[in-house]
Order: sequence, then structure tokens, then C-alpha cells
Amino acid sequence: MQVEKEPKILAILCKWCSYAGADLAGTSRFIYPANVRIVQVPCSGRVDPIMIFKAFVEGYDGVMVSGCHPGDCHYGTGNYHARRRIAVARRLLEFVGVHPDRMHFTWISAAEGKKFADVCSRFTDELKALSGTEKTLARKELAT
Amino acid sequence: MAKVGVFVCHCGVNIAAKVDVKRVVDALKEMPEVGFAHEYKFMCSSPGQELIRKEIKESKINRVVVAACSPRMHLPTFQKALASQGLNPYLVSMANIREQCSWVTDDPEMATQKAIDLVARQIKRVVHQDPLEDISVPMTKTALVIGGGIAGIQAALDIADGNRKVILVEKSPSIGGRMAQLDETFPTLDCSQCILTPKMVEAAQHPNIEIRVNSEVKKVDGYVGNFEVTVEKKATYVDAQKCIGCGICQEKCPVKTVPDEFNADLNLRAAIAIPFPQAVPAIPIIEPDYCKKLIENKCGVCAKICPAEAINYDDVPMQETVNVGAIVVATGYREMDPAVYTEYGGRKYPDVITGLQFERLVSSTGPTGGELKRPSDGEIPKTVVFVQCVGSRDESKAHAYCSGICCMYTAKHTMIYKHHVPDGQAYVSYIDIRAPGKTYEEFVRRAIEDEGVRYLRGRVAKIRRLQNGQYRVYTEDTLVGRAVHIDADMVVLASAVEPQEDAVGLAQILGIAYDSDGFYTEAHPKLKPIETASAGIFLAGACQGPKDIPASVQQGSAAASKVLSIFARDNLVKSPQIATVDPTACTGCLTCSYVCHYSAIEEKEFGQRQVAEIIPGKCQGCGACVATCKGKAITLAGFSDDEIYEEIVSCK
Amino acid sequence: MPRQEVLEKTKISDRMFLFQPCVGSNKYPGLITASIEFFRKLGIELVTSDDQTCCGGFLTFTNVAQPTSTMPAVARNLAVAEEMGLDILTLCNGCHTFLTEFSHFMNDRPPVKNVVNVILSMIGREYKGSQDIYHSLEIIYKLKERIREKVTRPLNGMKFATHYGCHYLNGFKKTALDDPHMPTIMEELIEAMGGEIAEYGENRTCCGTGLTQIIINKEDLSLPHTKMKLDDLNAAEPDAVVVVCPYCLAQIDRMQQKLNYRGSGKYRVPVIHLVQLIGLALGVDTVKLGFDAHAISFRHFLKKFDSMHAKAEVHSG
Repeated sequence: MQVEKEPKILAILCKWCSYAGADLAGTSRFIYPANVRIVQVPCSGRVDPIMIFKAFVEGYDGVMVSGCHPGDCHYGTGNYHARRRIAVARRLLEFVGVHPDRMHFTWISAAEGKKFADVCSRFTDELKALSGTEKTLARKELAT
Repeated sequence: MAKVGVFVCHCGVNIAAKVDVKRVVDALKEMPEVGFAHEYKFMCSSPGQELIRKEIKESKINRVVVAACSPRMHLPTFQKALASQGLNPYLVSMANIREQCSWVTDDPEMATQKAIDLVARQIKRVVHQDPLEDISVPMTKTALVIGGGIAGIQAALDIADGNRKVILVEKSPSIGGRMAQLDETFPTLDCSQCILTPKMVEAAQHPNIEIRVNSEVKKVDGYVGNFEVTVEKKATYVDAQKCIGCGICQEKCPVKTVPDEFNADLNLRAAIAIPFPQAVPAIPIIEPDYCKKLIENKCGVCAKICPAEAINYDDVPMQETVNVGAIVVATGYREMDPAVYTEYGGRKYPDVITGLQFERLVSSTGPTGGELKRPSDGEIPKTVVFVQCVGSRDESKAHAYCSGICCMYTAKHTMIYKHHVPDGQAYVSYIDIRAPGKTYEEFVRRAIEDEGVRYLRGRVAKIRRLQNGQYRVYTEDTLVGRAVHIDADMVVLASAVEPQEDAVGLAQILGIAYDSDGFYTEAHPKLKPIETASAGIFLAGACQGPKDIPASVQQGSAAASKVLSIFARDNLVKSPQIATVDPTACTGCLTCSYVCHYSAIEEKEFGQRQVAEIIPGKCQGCGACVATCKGKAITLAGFSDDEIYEEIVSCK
Repeated sequence: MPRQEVLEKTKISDRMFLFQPCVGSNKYPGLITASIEFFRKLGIELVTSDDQTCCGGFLTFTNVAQPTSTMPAVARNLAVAEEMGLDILTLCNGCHTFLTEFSHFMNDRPPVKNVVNVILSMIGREYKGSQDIYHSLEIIYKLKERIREKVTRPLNGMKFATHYGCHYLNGFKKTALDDPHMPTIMEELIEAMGGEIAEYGENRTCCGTGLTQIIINKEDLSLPHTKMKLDDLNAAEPDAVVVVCPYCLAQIDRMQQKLNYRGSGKYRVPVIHLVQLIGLALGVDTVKLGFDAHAISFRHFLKKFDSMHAKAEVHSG
């Protein structure tokens, strides 16, 4: 029987909302998979799509980007810029043969510790379900 | 060569119970960057910090990583420890092995593995961190207050009392704002004018306050500490220096057809007039759209009779640029025009009036001299219906928000009405009574219980004029579950609080955010209710959202204290974690300037070409421009590509 | 104030399909003859068809039949006009609301339309949903200037009260031309023809017919309601009250007679449909306006109307 590998997740979180949300998940002792690595950025608007590609190159199985809820951005509009960039990055991922669902974009506020833990757990499950599907996807892309 | 000192905290048992700290320390010692690694029970305690200080002195380390709790909790603590030993405080990094590891992981083995990984990544990162110096910006210690209502007056007085100069800009001919129009105030029923006028006079006579009436802000350049503001004074046709405020021009002016704005358009006044008796300054202005001299070059009576020769028909608007360090926006609100409520008559019925018009009708300085007479025939209304939530909490017709003040001022109106007409009957149609202020609920109870005002819970469906001149108000009493109608002599609509007509225009001039209703948006709804997203611009009063007088005064004082705390320093100190452009790499496409929320990016000449330049005083360090820059010419100190990619790459 | 965007969408064609209201055809035939006559004077030919049936609204309003079972009947009526390639003009608030609402319902939901068309195919018809449906008031309002020019017998010296009717004011939101709380278009039309307006408070109040309809027939509820409206109306002393719906016409007209019989007062305000009033002003033969079918006599009204013109002739002559 094949041993299921724990997928590695990179979570890029904004400093004001989502990182604080992750802290709250800790303070509230919500257990989530240990394979999540968090990188702090000042704002989700700082997230360059290349960061996401770099993470996949470096062997992460999934990348999660989270910012403040729409309208709540500490810097006014940074999360809107992030949303647009990530929508484009998603299509590029598909193009290079990475399943677009390996990238997750979400809004987590400083009060949503539970949501952060839930998103991490759910994302891990989704990535497990995805493992092995990319090759087929890539071949299909090539065929058409 | 970087030499990193690593300190791993037990946090009592918070970390040590899950993470094998000893193993972590041993694993990290193997890394080439690491000078040494220590463990300690409580790093944030004084002995813990002393440990860092000692090692900086003795082991000659030049970078520090503390593996403990969240940097949001204790990063400043450790930065201070570094600074005390002469090491740049930006050379410390924290690995969050409590919130992100020991508290959220079940298995001790996995927790230990994760902790090692987390600390190792911070060690790799800290090597790339550069020493940063706080940015010091010189500033002009004069404040600009926009709006001379009670919030603006309060802010101006507080700043002026703090011994700083204030320029108070007011659009209308007098300061005083909405509060000057009110008769009595809730919940104490003290006369509005009596408590406001001393403040107006104090502001006018304060040596540190310069009042500029009839003026508007046209342009704002610069940034916190150094704003350049263009103020335009409109043509008033009266020389304020010469005018003695005798008011004889107002009496003799033959044109008496100007709707009196101060009296909520209830009466007509002269084309040259002092806005109201207690006006500060008490100097009249000419309405150019009505004045016969200005329209057709006839009349000229005011110039002939003016004893001070203050009339100047050739007056023109004048612009002036002032330098200020901080701006308080206190532009207030206006009352919604209930014309969209056609079911209530849509301003067609003369005796269906708004709350502000009622204030003027009962005011001793109002059009009736304080006698409550209804506008259509001058009769004393024996039955009055007060309709609440006209335009508030009604998304389909006007606004979704609650105007906040109407419940209270309607209760006040009913009491004033009962004091004017003791044998009259007042009805109030309400949805809910919202009276959360200090002694507010008691005030409403007083209206209901002591004054015998009848509160009917329900929305008014329609108002119709009857043949006998009365108005039939169709409403319901949902507490009894019946439709009712009341034949009233007068109806008062508690019309919604709305932002000023030109609120959005001013927001765009100032570069501050506003919501879908046009109210200005604060930087954080809970923790930064005074600040805007633009540094150095503060909000006070109802321009930020509907507010009553106490709240407006509080916010005015709060804004003043924010301004004074900026002015208390010699120079402006800003976080050095801001973006900078490498002009040699910049192609000058200026895409970065489109994503900048703070308009901090400008064009400048570099060699033979145009490149982008970031104004350090304006940049807040969000990094949107860094991600946008195609040429990677922008670096965000503290969150540079090197630092972030190192964290991503050093994943095990 | 009329909504400009709706007004702009209103199309005037040379030929239109006159959708005959059942109350109009069997109680007040003057409505149909008057409209045909004066629209001809305005250069518009109204076409009727014997194939057309009742709009079916009656069955739905009174909860007798499911909307789904009346829908094929509606589609059939619409198809009759559609086969002629004509837009529909209605004289009745009920017909107007019902036809517009159901046509929008079917057009917005292709599956429903398909089912309806399967049923229609049994009788060899098909509903495509290509034509517009207008209330006569909207077309007339759009033709206001043409009417003003064509007036031969102006309404000078006459005072009119208006009654719009609930299903017009609060009917289908997408196509409603006027503000339901403060309608003005009928007043504008009357003033355009030289008449005066008698304002009264209960202008927007329901006539009460909803409770009088054959199946419900709650006269004990509807009579006091109509009486309230009539009392206020009487106080304003109009020469006639103008309506745009045959149901309102029937209710206000016949209930006055009923109230008189029961001794609840003296009510004799003539009730006139807008198309009859325009017919009058445009010089359509009075016989064709069918005033004889009304319960409240038009004798005094017409006498005053004629005397006003006699006066005018004396002045001008």
C-alpha cells in the first residue's frame, strides 16, 4: 500500500489581518496540519506571482495567499491588486501544467483564527485528493 | 560575514511541552551562519533580554534570531534590546514557534521538526536583513481645519490651546455650522446658541486661530508635515476689513427674494445679509445671483448707504496657498431633501416640513420669532405627527444606514412642541427607538411618560391633504397590529443625515477614502477612528458618519490631540520599512504610480529620462508597487525580495 | 413625474392592436368606439379581433385558477396580435398588468415558454414574445402634443378629479411610467386639453372593486371603502372623475347608484374613462362615446360642457 505523503503548504499572509488570524488560531489552540509554513508580507498586494511559482519550483505542493477582507485592507486597496494578480497567475499555472487548485486565495481577518485552521485543513485534504492528477492534465493539454 | 545568535524560548511550558527545545538548539548549531544557540525559559523577561545584551557584547554576534512567540507580540521588545547595545534594531528576526507550532500541532515529533524548520528559515532570512534608520521628515507646525461647525471649532480651539497655529476654513459666511441652527439640544434641553456662541467668539478671538470664511479648499499637495493647500475665497463684494457689521445694508436692500438658507428656506431674506444675528464674523455678503447691481447694474443702494464704504462690486475670487503640517476634515452633514418621498407629499405640502425646518420654526431667531406657527396659514398646530426614519434604514428609496440622531432629536422636538403648545398632541411614528447615549433613554421616556407624547411603532405609508387643510397620516401600530390614521395639522419628517453635496469632490482633492454613501472612511473602524488612510489627515464630526453634538466634540478633540502629538516632535519619525526605486533599473513606465494608494510615487528626471520616485514621507510600505514593477527596480525595506524568497527557498 | 427612460422606450406605430377589456365590451361599449374614433383622428388605426378572449387576469386575481393554467390563454391572446405583427394597446389596468407581467414571465423563462408553446401548437398557434404591450395612458401621454393640437372642443371651465387605479400605479415595476405615489401624467393631459384639476386627498386610494368582483363579492367591505373615497371626492366638487380602467369605472359609477339606493348620501359624480374624455375634446360624436351606458347620468355634465362652449362662442363671435 502506498504511504500518503503529507503535502507541503506555503501560506503567504498579510501582516495586518491574516497573519494575526493565524496567531489567533494558535492562541485558540486550533490544531491544523503541521506542514503549513507561513511567510509574512506587509500586504497581500506585495505578493508577486513569481513568489507562487518559486514555491512550486522549490517543492511545495500548494500555495495559499490570504489578505484582509475586501474593503478592510490596511492599505486601502492592496487586496484588490492581489486578487487580480492571482486570477492571472491561476491561468498561468494551468498553462504550465500545475493544477490551478493547488493555489488557494482567501480572505482571513484578524478575528478568524478558526477560519485559518479550517482553510489549512481543507486545503491539505484537497491537495491530497489532487496528487497524481497533474500528469494527466499536462498530457491532455499537450494533446489539444 | 554574518554571525547569528539564536535564542530559543521555552515560554514556560507553552513551547517546551510540545517542542523538544534541546533538539532544536542542537540542530541549529550545525548551521554555518549560527555563532551560537541558547535556550532559555522566558526570553521576554528581563534576564532573557539581558542574555541577548550580554551575548551581543561578548560573542560579537551581528544578527539575532529569537524563536519564541509571534513577532506581533514581542518584536519591539527584542529590537530595544539590540538597540541598547548599539546594534541596529532591524537586524533581529523572530521565529514564531508558539502560535504557529507548539499550540497548533498535536504530535511532539512533528512539532519539533517544524520548529527546527521555522527557526532555520529565520536564520537564513536574517542574514539578508539590512540595518535601517528611522526616517526623519521636517514639518510645518500649523494645522488646517476644514469646516467651522462644532467639531471643527473644537479641534481648532484644542490645537490653538496647545500653542500651535490653526487655519480654520469655512465655506459659508459664518462659523457655527448646523449647531447654530438648532433651538435646544438633547438630552438637557439647553439652548444651542447659548453654549455654542461663546465657543465661536473664543475661536474668533484666539491669537492662534485664523478664520477664513467664504473659503474652500481647492487643491492639496504634499504629505504629512508638509502639505501645500490652495484655499479659494469667493467674491463676497463686502470688504471685511472695512465693514463694521451695522446691518443697515441688509435693511435697505430692496431685493428680498433670497431663500434664507440659515432658516432652512422657510422665509426670504435680502440679497445682502449677515447670515444670522450671532454670526462670527458678523459681516454680510452679497448673493450675486439675486443682487440687481451685479445682474443688471441697477440699484446700488447698499454702496450708497454704507457708512464704512465697505461695498465693492468688483470683488473677485482669490486663491492663496498655505503651508500646513496636518489637516482636520470636519465638513459635517446636510439634511436629506425628502422630495423622493412622494408618498409623504415630496415637499408639495407646505406643512409637511423637515426636522431642521422645525428647529428654525421654534427658534427665537427663526422666521416666526420663536412662535410655533405652521407655514401654510400661520395657525398654531394642535396635532403634530413626527415621522422618523425618513430616508434612513430604507435602502429602496434613500439610505440603508441609520442616521443615529433622529430618535433623539424627535424626542426633543416633541418636548419643545409640548412646551410651545401645552394642549397640543404629538405623535411619533418610529421603527425602533435607538437611544444608547448617556441619559438618552431616560430622555425619551420623559417625552413618552411625562409629556404624554404618543409613540406609534410603524412606518407611515402615506400622507394626504384633506379638504379642511389637515393632513391625514396613514400609519400602523404594529404593537397592537392595526392600521391607524391621524389627522394632523403639521407633519415633521426626521429626514436622513447625508454627507455634504461636495463631500466626494473634497475627498478626491484630499486623497482620502469615502464609502458608498459619501461619508469619509476612517483608517480602521475600531482602532483608528480619527485617522484617514492618508497620514496627517484626520476626521472629526459628521463627515465621517452621522453623529450628535457630544460625539462630534469628542472627535474634534481627538483629532486635535492627534495633530498635537504629531507636532510635539521636532521632526516627523516614520518607519523605515518603505519602498525605494533604483533609478538605474527603472524604465519609467510608472505602472507603480497607478497601484499606489497614497499617491506617493512621482515622476522625476534621472539622467536623460523620466523615472519613478517614491516620496518617503508619503509611502506607507504596503509593497503594491514592488509586486507591480516589471523591472524589479523597487525594493521594500524589511520585506525585500531577497528576504521573502530566502524564506520560501529554505524550505525543507 | 413620468420616468423618461420608460417614455423613451414607448413606441408609437400607425396600427395597433386594441385589446378589448371584457368590462369595457359588456358594460361600457363607449370605451372601444371612443378609442377607435379618436385614435383615427390622431392618425393611428386600432385593430380588433374576434379571436381575442378575456385576458384571464380575473381568474388569477381571484385565485380561481393556477397561473400556469391561465398562461396558455394569455399566450394565445398575445399570439393573436403577434400574428398580425402589431403592438398591443390596453384600456384596462388589469389587462395591462396581467399581459405585461405574464409576457415578461414567459420571455424571461424559456422552459415555461416552451411548455406554453407545446399547448398552443395543439391549436396551431405559437407565441414568440416579440411585441410590446402598452397601457392606453402611456400612448396617449406620448401623443400629448398631437392631442393638444387636435382639440376642437377644449375642456375650459370644467373641473376634473383623477383616479389612476391600483393596478396601474402599483402594477408592473419594469414598465410603470409614473411615480406611484405622486402620479401627474393624467393631470398634465387634462390641462393640455384646457381642463382644470380638482385635487382631493384620496386620489390614490383604491376604488374598492377588488372586493366587489363576482366571485369574492364582499360588498360589506367594499361599499364603505368606496364611500370614503367618494365623500372626499364630492368635497372637491369636480364635474367628473377621470379613470383609466373599466373596473374602476364600473365600481365608482355603479356603487354611487347603490349608495344612493341605500340612502347613504347623494352621489352623482359622473365617471368618465380617459379615452371618452379625449374623444369628447377631439370632437367625436357624443353618441359614440356611449355615455348612456353609465349609471350616473351625464346630462348635467354635458349641459355644462355645451354651455361653456356656447359662452366661448359668444365671446369669440
